Amino acid sequence: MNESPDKLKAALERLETSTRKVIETRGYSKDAKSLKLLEEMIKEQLKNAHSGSSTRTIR
Amino acid sequence: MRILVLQLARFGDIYQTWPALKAIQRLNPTAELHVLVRQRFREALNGIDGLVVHSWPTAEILEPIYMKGNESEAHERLQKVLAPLRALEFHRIVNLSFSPMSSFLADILSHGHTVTTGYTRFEDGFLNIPDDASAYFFAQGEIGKSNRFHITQIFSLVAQSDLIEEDFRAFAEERPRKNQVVVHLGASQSLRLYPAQKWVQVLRAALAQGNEDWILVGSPEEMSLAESVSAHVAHARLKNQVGQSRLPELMNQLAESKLFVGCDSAPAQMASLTQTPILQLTSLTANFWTTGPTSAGSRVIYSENLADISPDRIAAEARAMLNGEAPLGPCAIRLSALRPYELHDLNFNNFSWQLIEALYTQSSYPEAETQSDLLAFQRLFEVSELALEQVESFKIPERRKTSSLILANVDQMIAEIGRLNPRVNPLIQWFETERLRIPPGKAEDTLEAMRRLFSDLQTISSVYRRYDEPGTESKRAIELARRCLPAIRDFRMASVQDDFQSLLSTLQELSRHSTKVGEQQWAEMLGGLNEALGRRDFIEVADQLEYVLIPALS
Repeated sequence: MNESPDKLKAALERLETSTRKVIETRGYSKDAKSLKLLEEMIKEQLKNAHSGSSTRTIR
Repeated sequence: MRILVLQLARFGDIYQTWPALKAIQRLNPTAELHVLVRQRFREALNGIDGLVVHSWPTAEILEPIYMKGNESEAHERLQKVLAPLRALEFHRIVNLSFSPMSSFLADILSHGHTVTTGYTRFEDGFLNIPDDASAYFFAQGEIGKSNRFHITQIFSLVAQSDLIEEDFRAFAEERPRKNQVVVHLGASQSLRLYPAQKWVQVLRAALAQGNEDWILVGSPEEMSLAESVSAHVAHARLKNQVGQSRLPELMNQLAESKLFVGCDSAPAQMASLTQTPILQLTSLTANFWTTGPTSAGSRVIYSENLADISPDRIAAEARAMLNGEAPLGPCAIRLSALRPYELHDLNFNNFSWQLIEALYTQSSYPEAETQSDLLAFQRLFEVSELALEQVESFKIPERRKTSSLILANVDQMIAEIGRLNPRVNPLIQWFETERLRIPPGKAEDTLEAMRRLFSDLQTISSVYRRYDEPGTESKRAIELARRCLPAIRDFRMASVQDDFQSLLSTLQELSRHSTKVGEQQWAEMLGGLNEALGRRDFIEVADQLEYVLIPALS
């Protein structure tokens, strides 16, 4: 799961664009919430060594 | 009632969550208690009966992105994982994860009737910290900050379930202890590792001093480390079992051991739950106050640099613990799960911690220890005064733009005060967190909440304000100005920074109590000084102090 940080980064960028559009048109809707959740899951993977890790850090 | 606890951190954090889970069960005997953990760490919940455990399948959800770069499919998978969880319509959600990801999850899994504690999201998507305990953790809890409340207590506060000693017990009955000591050579992070060659010395010395079996435990990833240490020690009573035990077996083994020795790691958290005394080695990289051992009789040897802890000291302290003897050197001692650490010949600066206690538990504010502390509080007082003026000014439409700019600068000023004197950071972090907690709403409500908060910051900072009668303050200003003058004339402003800042604060205070200094208006005097400072014309600053200010104050 660590081999593809580039794929993760690219997916994150596309997701951020989609989420922004969803929020602009429909506000912080159910879809926007799950897109943001997916974004954060990807960010955790980029930050940590593997998918099992997590941190307490929020900032 | 259906309660969901989110714990999306790792093994050690899950074990530290056990007391809160047991407390929730004890206080809500008829409730259905669900726990969501990452699939990989699910095993850490084996041993608590009556839980409904859900796994969070990160790898499965993200697989389409890894394999095909397809985030839409990943989103679909995510929706499928969320649907059955949402359908459970939890009455309470307790988020113990303190991460951005978990805050979105808590928000998605909540319904109109759900009461959530721990991080979640406001209706506009911004971070929402609904309870004071989570706000406390956000402000003061991370490594490098001054928290001294144990994480088990913080978790229980977020869960709104007070702990009792029994909540810390993995097993209801105490087991007979074998003549063995368990050692974990590894740690949750490489920075928390004690060097392998020093472990060899610890084990050689410890094995020479007693007749116990010393058992190495750990994960399969730690096998080569353990093999190397074991080969160098080469002793019949040293047993290398690293990579051989599942977690429940390790829990049993710990419950039957006399002592656990190691750094901050999941096996140490497990040993706390089996009431096994722990000798923990710790440094700046782990805050033992927050995550250290809770089993009665445990001791923590602390050094800023872990490698500086002497192997002989560790072996001797372990021997003292096995013999029931008093500590041999500086350490923190845990007398019971619910009592805080007691320090034995170990000293830490207490100012920031006492400041935290004053902010959150209404105890007395600590005495400022340095001129720099007084100065930082004085600055916070002045900045909050400026902010309060701007909050009022913001209400007038034509002044709104300027006020916004000044308020944005206030944020930077507050951050700078904390950077220059980190000892006052607990107050700044409290303030920043409380500001973050202001909910979305009407502009006037937000403004009023801001005003109250800046007013609180000013009140707290005013505890440290020092103002004597004008004659004394004038003398102080003259003394400070004379002290600063030679350095300013030599362009060594940085060397008298604290004194110069104190001088400016004293002049500000004097200007509050009279309009004139000598024959000159205070506003004119301070304006001239600020202007010269703005131009970085230090000769002019020195001239104004020497030829205008000092004579006027005299």
